[in-house]
Amino acid sequence: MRAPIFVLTVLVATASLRAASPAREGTRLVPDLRVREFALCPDGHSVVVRGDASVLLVDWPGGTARPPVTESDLPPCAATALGFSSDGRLYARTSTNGNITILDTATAAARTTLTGHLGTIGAVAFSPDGKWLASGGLDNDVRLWDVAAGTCARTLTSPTHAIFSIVWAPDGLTFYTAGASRTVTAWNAATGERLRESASLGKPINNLALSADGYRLVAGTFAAEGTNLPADIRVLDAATFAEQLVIPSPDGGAVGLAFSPDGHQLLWASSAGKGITISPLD
Amino acid sequence: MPVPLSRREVLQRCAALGVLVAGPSFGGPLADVFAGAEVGTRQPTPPNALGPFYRRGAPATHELRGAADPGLPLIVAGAVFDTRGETRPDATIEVWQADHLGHYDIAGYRYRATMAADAKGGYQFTSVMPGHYPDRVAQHVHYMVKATGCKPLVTQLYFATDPAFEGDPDHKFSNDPLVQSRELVRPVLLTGDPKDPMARVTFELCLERL
Repeated sequence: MRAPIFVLTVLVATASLRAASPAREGTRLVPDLRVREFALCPDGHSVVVRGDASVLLVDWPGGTARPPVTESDLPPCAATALGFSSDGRLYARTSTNGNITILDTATAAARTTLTGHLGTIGAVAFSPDGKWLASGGLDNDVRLWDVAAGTCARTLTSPTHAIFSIVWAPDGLTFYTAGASRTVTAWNAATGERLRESASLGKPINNLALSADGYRLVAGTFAAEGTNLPADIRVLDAATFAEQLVIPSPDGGAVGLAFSPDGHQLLWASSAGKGITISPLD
Repeated sequence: MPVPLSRREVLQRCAALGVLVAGPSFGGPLADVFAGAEVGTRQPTPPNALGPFYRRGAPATHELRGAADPGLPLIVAGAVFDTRGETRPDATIEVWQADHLGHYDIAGYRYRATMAADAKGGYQFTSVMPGHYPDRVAQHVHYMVKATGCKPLVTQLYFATDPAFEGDPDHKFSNDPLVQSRELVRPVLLTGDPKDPMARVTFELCLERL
């Protein structure tokens, strides 16, 4: 289980703080920090970064890092950066016992607990309108939850691999799952129908991110034991899953992926590397 | 090896706590007589992490080991009970494990099986001793066990002979931080021709009644 926000925020930031030059391709944000997770806030001006013992706010695109002093300094997107899925008002906390707890972002009070998965939840994601939560488990199940009712509206039983990541399309009609199958699957959120599946990316997929316009999907793979294939990041056409670009990730699988607000750059951090790398997409 | 994977394999810190219900208290040797025979005397098998390698739909078989498979042959047998001490012939037991080198078959179903318990709740399968792999300390076999009216059990079987336990599983079982219960570490009996030994393990499972 990932540590809750209110615990992490009291930790003292230990990363070296330095002003970086404006985001240029190939530059890194917080270049000395071993990044565990990060998220670009919807305001487009800041990045919340979690390191081993710190949570930092980093200006985008300037790169100046500052440690948040209190919880109130953290923008709502901190919930995502710290491993939760959030629609702004609510966030979902996952566990290793199959339960998902929906909490109020402002008060951290638990609203409801969703039960049904077995074992660790691999990923959760709110629909853009906040009405639905999609979840994927290591039990291979993909579930759609009615957030207000606190009930499971649908279980998609066709997957046969653990799910590690979920993202919704901005229109809320489609969501994407990926994981141990090494493929990305698109689902019709209204019917639960499997719309399409990508070709195998060769390695398990740990992270997905979707551009704001919904046209581009990035999938972060990691080097699986026995495959001798290095980790990389694949940029796919979200509509066809045609591969547009491969970004090598020599320092291990991506622990975070985000499009720049204009959609022309990708921010990513790897499991064994330092900092957040900015890669061009065009 | 995949750090992101291990990140998801976070400890089930509280999994084994708070679920143990004390049975009726019989002093001395009587305790042995009544253990397992009285309603409510069985304690549920501790759960353990599901892990990222589960695949739904494993074939119905008891023979996970092919005739030419390398590795130490392994026979695991046991029975499924519930917390009332009743055998569960309706139980379904899914097992999955790495091969002798520590590799999981992700594309297919090698070393994966779904078994139905027999009329006495029993099960048995042949396999090979699973290998070690970089992300995990101890050799293990994954279990998912279900029966009507019971809480599904996700757990793992470990081996007392595992070098990870340094010959002292009683005190060193937590050398693998995912092993949170000594009860899941089972004795291993080596049998057969000394030139061609096989390992036998008994692992009984107890499901919590809902």
